[in-house]
Amino acid sequence: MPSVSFMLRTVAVLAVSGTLISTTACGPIGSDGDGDGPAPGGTIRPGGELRVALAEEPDLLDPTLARTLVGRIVFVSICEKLYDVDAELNLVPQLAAELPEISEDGLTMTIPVREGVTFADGTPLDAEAVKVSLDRHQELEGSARAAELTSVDSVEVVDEMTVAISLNAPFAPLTAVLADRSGMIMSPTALAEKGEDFGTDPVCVGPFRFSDRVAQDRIEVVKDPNYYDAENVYLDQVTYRIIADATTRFNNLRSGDVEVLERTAPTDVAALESDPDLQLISSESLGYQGITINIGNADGITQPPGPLPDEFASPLSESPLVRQALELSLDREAINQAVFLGQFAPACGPISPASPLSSDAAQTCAEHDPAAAQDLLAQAGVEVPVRIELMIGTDAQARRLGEAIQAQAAEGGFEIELNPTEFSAALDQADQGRFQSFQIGWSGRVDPDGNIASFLTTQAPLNTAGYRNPEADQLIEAARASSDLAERRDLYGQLHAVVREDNPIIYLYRQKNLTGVAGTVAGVEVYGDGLVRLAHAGFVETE
Amino acid sequence: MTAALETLPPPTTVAAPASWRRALRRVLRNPLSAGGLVVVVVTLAAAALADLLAPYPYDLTNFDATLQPPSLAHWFGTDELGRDQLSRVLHGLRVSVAVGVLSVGLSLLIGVPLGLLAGFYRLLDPVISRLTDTLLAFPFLVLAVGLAAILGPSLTTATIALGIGGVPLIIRVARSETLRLRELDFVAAAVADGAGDLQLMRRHILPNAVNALLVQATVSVPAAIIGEAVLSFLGLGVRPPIPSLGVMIASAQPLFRDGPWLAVIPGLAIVLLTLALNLFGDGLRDALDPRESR
Amino acid sequence: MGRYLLRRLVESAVTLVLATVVVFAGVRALPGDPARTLAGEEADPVAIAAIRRRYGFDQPLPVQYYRYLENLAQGEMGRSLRTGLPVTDTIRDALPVTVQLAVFSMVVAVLIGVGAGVIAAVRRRSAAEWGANTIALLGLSIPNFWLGLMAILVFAIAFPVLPASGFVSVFENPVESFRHLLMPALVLGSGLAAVVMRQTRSAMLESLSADYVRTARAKGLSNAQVVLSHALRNSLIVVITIVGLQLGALISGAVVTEQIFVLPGFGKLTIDAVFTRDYPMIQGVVLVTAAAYIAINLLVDLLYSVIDPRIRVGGAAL
Repeated sequence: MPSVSFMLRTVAVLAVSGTLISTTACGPIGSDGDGDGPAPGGTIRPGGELRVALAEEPDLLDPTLARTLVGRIVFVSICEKLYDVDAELNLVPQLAAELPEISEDGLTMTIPVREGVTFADGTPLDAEAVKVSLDRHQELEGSARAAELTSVDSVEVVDEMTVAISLNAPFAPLTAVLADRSGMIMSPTALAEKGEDFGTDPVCVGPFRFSDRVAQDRIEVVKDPNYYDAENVYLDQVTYRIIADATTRFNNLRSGDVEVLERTAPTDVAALESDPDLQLISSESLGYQGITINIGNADGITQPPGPLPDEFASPLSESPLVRQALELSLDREAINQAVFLGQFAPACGPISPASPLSSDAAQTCAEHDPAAAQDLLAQAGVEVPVRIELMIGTDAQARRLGEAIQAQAAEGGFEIELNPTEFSAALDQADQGRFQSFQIGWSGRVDPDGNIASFLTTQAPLNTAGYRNPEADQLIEAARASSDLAERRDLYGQLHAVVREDNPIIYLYRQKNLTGVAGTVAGVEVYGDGLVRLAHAGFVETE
Repeated sequence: MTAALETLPPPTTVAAPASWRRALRRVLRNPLSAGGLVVVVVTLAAAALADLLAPYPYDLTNFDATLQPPSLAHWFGTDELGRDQLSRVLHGLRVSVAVGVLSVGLSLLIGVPLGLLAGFYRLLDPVISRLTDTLLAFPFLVLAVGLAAILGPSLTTATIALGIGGVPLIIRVARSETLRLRELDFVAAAVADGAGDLQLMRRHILPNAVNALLVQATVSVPAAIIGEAVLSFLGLGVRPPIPSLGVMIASAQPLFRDGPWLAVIPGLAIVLLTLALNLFGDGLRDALDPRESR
Repeated sequence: MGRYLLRRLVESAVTLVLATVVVFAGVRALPGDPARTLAGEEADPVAIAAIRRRYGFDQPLPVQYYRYLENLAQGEMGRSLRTGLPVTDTIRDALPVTVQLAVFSMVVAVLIGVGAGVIAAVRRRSAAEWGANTIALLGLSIPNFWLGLMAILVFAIAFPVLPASGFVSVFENPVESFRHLLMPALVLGSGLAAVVMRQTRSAMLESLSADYVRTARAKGLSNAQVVLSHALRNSLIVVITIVGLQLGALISGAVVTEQIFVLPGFGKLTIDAVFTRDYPMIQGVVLVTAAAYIAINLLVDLLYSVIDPRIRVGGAAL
């Protein structure tokens, strides 16, 4: 017989849980923000330390070598770029003085450099400094930026405040590329001094400058008096704390241990919204999550696509009809509801509706229809149920998503076996083509080309599906080369239709950038790129 | 890693195999350990009969009935995919028991022969002891994560990881028992009779070491059950949609506010099972110890 | 004494070297190309090859191992592949967190365990003994990650008295440190408390029935005096031994506790390193863990041999 103390403990726990269940507020489902938090009625006072909770630890804080999304969140405070985006995701100049001038043949891009700007260490910003940084992004061994700068032949200093970039082929997305890490300009003095160690103490242009870093714990940045707009910067310091667990992040926000929280879990949104002391900033992300299907990756991504070996070949890899059937059997809405409590949005293609290059054509979607799926399978003449292995992550959310997909695909005539694989090993297997299907996503880039080219062009570096379609290749190529927005929009619309015929990737959902902010803070902005912008943020004046 | 917590030297005065029935009677006389035994048997039965007892299939999703608190239709409520928690807990218990028992079995299989050899042959002793020490010095979770990376997370992988993790303890117990028993008279007598090494180990040492090993096992099994829960919690355990109590708790973490029963109930199930095992194990150890005169 | 010490030192050195070889080879046997993982989203063959060259992954294994030993001799453990920060600095920042947590847990465990053990030994066959026994066993039966979640539920959410996460060093702010570490220490120490309780109880029982105690009782010393001065003192030796040996297990168990309570400690560092294939960090972490475990074992053995000369001679050592 369990002892009295044991039983009392059980009763106590159940009583507490009971209390909690009944006091759970049922708040309204989150609404779409326009990128700004609601402005509290009050002015912002100068000073104060803002604490931001990050979901992961950033990697090296070196714009040439950095590879993480959270790294970009820290960079937005300390390293400005040639270009940036506004709330509508249009490109605007930041360290450049104006949008670039592109020559007729599309092979020369002239960029005027902004006047009167100094780096955090006092070095003045000029065309020479821009060239040094751009060259480094291209040439440093191991540079993570080299791949997106392949269209750049050379960078010339035209005069003290003007830079000219020579391209080897017209490449419209280049401006957007310069609105990301490739456009970050580093202090040439600091580069000369620290060389490869630049990332341990980075010096750029920004409302804040790097101050300290403790591994696994936090990164501190302080207000930079040398910033060209320093009078509009209110905060004295921003501390980025690394808190991997979403629930803990949220608890910290509620208890006031942090003021800003990136990547709020969908399960916490209701509680956040019903709390009068907290605000939610929500914007649709530029990325996507989906299922990549191995169609032709037989020998690895460095080899041309071909028929798959028996181990991985299946009706799914061989017949587009079967892939369409799989798409029809998945109810994106229900998945969104069950796994993400309705906080994210279904996605049917690689282009976010928030992008200026989106169009109706790029957002067409199939209706959930398991009966039609079964018909397609019959049409394709395959044996039902179709057995597929789906590689997923090992964390709890990946499992939930996998199980939801499994349950729904069953209705359409598919028997899915889930294969949780550790991330590193999964990337390896995907590259080598040793998989049938893989649940993986992409964080998203401002220019749709960044979401498409590397994945869908034949033998592109991230084309783990082994997709080869000359028509798609042509459309992607044309969309890159054209600078005409309307034309590009149209081309992407056509591409969307082509891709949906073949379904090398079944796009499932698009995350929302859910940022929690304390009620005492104003001026925090989060656009579709998910970066938490704090330049003009601060604590509200209390009476 | 709680498996390593039991680095206790076994009581050095465990009796030679007294009559099993006498020991059992002693165990049953103690209400706590008797209760433990009852709970263990009931849980084992429930886990074994999970297929029959579970009101719903454990992977049956129902998107219209997600996150339901405990009710008549669903005694333990439902999770975010609408699956019945009672059914999942029953199957989860089965997984826990299976991994617990099998991993300890693996530890015994590897550890007992090594321990016997170490206690028997002076030359092998330092070699085996060094290996044991190295294994103990190695952080267990690094080993588990490494195995999961190589073999892929699954029931088998978790069992192997826990099994290997439990080997050093078994080696120590087996070795220490061998060393102790070697000095005793009946072994000397057997040697004088001309018994060979293998015979000695098999017929004289091993049967007498069983008590100590059994006591260690009753402590290792609950530790292994908790170990499986930890591995599953970290995502290194069974493949979905097979439920494991650890996985259920991990999934329930972000849903604390919306469904606290999802985290509380699987945890209570683990506690109940392991507590019962520990109580029973304690009682068994007391019963086999001649000093105790209850 | 000298010979024994020498022997143990040599044994420890061998174990340590073995551990480094195992982890070095083992980590490279893991599937998943670290260069590919490092490349993250910007993965193209050129970048991956460059990364491989940069970190020397393309060298043959023995060369890599030799370089590793070379650096180690100079006290250099390399830089984290992920953050670029030196491994030694990162470990140095993470260790105090885990050490403070472990020490606090041990204090908690000893207080609860010894207390419960004494009660159980002294008040035989009473409700108090069964109660103490069961509570101690509960410590062994409750998975500490679940206990942590429940503790947060009760003490940080339902009745917010304690912070749900974060670490404050005891040298910085003792009161805040206590508040932040109380729940984690209770959670982590609960398992150890059970072990300590059992050992205390059995050691106390043994000494309570020993001759010299009966003599003391016959001489007229009160029960309490007997318990406290004689029996307890002897039992404490055993307890100290156990606690020393459990440090390794505590550090292992700290991993999950650190995750739940967000303590930037050593356990969390270990897990993250393995998941991200951060070779230099994994090697550093395993080296430190193995070294600590071996050092503590050595210390405990020496302590034991000083206290109990019989052990020094070897024989049926445990």
